[in-house]
Amino acid sequence: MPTERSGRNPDTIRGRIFDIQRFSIHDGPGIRTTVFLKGCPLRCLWCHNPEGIDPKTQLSFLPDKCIGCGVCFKLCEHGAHVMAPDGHRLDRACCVVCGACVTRCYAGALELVGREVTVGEVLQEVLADRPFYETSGGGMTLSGGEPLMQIDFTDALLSAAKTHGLHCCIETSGYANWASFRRVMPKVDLFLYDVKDTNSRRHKANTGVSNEKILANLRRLHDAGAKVRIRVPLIPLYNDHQDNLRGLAALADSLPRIEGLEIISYNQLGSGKLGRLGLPEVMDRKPQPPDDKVLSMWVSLLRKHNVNATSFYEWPRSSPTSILTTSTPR
Amino acid sequence: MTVTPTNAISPRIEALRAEVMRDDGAIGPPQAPCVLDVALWRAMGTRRSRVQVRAAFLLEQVRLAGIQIRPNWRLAGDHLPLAVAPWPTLDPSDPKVVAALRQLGLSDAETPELCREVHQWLNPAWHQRSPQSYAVGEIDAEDCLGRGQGEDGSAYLAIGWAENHSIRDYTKLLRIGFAGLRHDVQRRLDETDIAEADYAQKQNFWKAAISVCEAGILLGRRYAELARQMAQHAEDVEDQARLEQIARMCERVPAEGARSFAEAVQALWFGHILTCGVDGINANSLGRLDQILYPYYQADVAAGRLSRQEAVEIMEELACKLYRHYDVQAITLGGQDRQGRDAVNDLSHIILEATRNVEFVRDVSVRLHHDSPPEFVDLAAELIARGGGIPFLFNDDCFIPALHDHGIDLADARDYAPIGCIELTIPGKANPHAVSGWLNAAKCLELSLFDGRAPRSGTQLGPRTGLLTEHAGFEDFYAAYLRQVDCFSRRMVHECNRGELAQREYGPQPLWSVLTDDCIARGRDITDGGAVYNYHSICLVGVPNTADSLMAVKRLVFENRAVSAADLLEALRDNFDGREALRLMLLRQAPKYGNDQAEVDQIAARVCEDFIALMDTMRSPLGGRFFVHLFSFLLNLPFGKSVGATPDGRKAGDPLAYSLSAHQGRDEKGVTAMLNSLARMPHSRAAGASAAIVELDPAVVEGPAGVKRLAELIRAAFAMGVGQLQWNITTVERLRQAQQDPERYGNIAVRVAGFSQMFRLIPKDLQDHIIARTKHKR
Repeated sequence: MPTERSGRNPDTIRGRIFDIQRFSIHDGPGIRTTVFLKGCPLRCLWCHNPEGIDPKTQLSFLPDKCIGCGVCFKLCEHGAHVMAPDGHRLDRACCVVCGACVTRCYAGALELVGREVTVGEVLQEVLADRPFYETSGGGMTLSGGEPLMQIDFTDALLSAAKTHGLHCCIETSGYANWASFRRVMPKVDLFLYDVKDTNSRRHKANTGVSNEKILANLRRLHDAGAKVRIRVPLIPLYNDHQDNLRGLAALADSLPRIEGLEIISYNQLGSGKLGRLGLPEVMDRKPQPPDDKVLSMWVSLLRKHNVNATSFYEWPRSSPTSILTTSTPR
Repeated sequence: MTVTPTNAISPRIEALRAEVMRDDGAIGPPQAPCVLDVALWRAMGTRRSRVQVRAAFLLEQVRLAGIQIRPNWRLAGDHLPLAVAPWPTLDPSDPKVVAALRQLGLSDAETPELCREVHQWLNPAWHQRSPQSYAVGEIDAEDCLGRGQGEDGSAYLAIGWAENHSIRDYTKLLRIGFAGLRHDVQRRLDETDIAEADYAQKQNFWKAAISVCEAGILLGRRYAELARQMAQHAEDVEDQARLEQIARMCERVPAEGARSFAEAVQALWFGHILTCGVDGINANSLGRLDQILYPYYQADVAAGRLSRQEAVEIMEELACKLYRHYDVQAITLGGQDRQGRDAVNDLSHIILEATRNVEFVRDVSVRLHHDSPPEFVDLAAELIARGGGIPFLFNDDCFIPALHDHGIDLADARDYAPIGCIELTIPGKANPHAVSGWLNAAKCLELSLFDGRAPRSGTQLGPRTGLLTEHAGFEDFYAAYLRQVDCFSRRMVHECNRGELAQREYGPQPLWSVLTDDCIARGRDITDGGAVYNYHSICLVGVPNTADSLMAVKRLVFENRAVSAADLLEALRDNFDGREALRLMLLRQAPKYGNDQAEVDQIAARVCEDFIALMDTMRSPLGGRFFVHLFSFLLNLPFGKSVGATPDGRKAGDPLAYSLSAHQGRDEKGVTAMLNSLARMPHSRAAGASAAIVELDPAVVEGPAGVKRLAELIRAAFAMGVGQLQWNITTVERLRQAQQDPERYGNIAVRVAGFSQMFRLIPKDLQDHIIARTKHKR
């Protein structure tokens, strides 16, 4: 876990994030700022944000951007940068992620993924777009990674946002202790709750954990009256099975107060990020994004079980019709 | 009000639309060769004064113009033969010329005299010497160092002469007509004591004004006669009714006041034709169309004479008329009325709908304020989301105070309207000298690094303010930059003032004057101080690059000492040759404007504010002020070409950023961050207006939710104090396709610089520039 200290002072509580994305329009209602926290308990094979998995800061290296200035060779005390016949190579075995090379890599080939920030620092950037939240009914979304893995930071950030009256969403894998959910629940206006697969065996095989805890937390949140919106990444070959669809329908039936159900179609952006983090490819079969027909079939069937079932882009409060289009699972 | 998504135009409008779209020049009325020469010669014939000749010339133009009424049109009138440069000299020995003049009723004996006199009228003033040199002598070389092209120029440009950028008092024209105006002038001629000290001067102008009014009256009369004749030979009853209707309208307007919505539009169109006949089309704009026409619409609807659908169709037909010779004749909708209340009415919606329906209008502006009806904002957003780049948005809450603070009466300030691209005027009350001067802030910045010397040519263009290496700190360096700005601004103002004086002598505008308060009452032409408001709008170009450069120097030279001043100067001189790492450091290690980073944004604001403060101290010969316009038009390209490498990491010759948009590709934090940066600029001090183009990916504005999102962005941005916004909704991929296959994709309209244009009609370097501007996705 990243360093965290107790206490309520937003300037002292620190967490580790890897991005703050403004003008997010798919992570809850309105125009939002999404804060991506580092660290995730799941290992989804299709992970779209693999830079969110590791709780530690990582070094990203994009050889294509290297201009061969050679400064990093001199700066690195650990011999991690090697000039090979085919160009600059990074020896990750030697790298301690000290970040020394990054400070002088003006070409942007080397970057640190992950930085430690205080609640106050995050909040300052989030509040910058407040006028846009006000006209659009937007706010802040915490995503990741799994935001509940940094529960003290997440809780403090939500509390601070609430003192400014911001609408708050959490995008969660659901894989966290109930105590964490209970702690943040009063401050979260909407949970964007991932259900990767209703089939437990497949869930375990594809994400590294089984889904019992996730489904149990979902039910408890629902029963406790939290606003929850289920999000299902649709990954051909991995979870696009009929029994998953049937399982989702049954789930929707059993959770009548669920706000909605979003089907998020797979895209291939994640695999491009693996290489720059030095991570191996984990999918043995390469799925293509699902075609529109499959998406709309899933949406229309699920809509029979929950009126607010949509595919990704469309937020039901603005229109009952859905626009089918690809999007970004996490 | 929600609007049907269908493009439901009637078969008649569809036919008109098809006709103007395929216009190959053949659908205008045939014009006799040499018609303008004969008009000018006749105008000169009675030994009139200059202003009188220009007025009489319009009258002769109207008399001699070929006119026609084409099938299907209900709105009569085509442009007059346009009196715009170049105007070739006639050769009296050319048999074709002789024949053409004979055709127009001249005897062969008169031909050489006509050729000579017309040549003499045009050429001394326009060809061999500049009008400036006639009015105020040749300019001294040292007074205009830094003007012109290339590395030793482009620090500034100046015009000072006001033409084809106007909005005239069409409200008054519709109300009392040219006969009413003529009556007003005649009364003053009759009632003023002939021995009054300035009677001679007033009389000179009033006589010209009478000719102008007669030209207007004659124009309507000629169309009325033509329509009557054609009606007699009409093929069917329906067409006969159409022609008789035209005849009835043209018998009435523009001579008398309009009595119906249709007559009002006809009068307005005639007013526009006359305007363009003497002053060119370019940016002669219509102004607040929904406000001008509303009383007529309201009366017709109340009396049951006009349906909403009929009004939409009339507006569609007007759009077709405008399209035939479309430049940037702007229409303005919405905003506040003179009392500060919201002015949106049925017509605001109707005109936007008509604009949407015909799908080719490219210059419509919408004024918004804190109290604009949400459904009107939504309709504007719906149009923008379609991707044609219109309407452009203006924030009343910024520009009304900006204008009022610069001496415009509050009620008049509330009545502002943009001309052409983005230039603000007070319709019917101002001589705005739009885009009168241009200052290149980035060139001033470059010179301030190099002791006022152009680094490559070595020419000492500006004052010697020291090399960057000689400055002790950032403030010292900034003071040097300001001294460069001060120097070129003074040269620019000097030339604007010369232009103003030259036009006073050589370029009177009697028609514009008749339609501008208080020219008639004062008996003075608009170029002679007749207008209630006289000012010059001055564009400041390259603000984002200047701010980014100043920020980079501040952070990396003076604060972090990551690069020495000497090293930086050497790299800039060499255009970063072999210094890519340094260039990337400059680019990445200092904040860039457009990412909601207060420090650099505040430098950008300071660059604007210091220039505004300087311009606020300047006055023109006629007492005019200098309004700052935070707008680059397309000059960010040529001005960029003349500026060497800059400390923001920009290479020599690369384009500068457009207006107040971030430099292409540098706004990396998304559209809200860009808008936050933009909101830090002093829009409510920019009496000439500000401008920014924001690029959005179509996916962001897709569907009803996307339109709603765009409206939310607009509302928030304007609440934060952003002054002006233009949106481009096109994908990079689509533009690349259009570049490669213009035949197939080139018809997408994109936002260029204060106007929209078909992509295929844009030169390659500008296409590249547009592609390079960031797309905000997500």
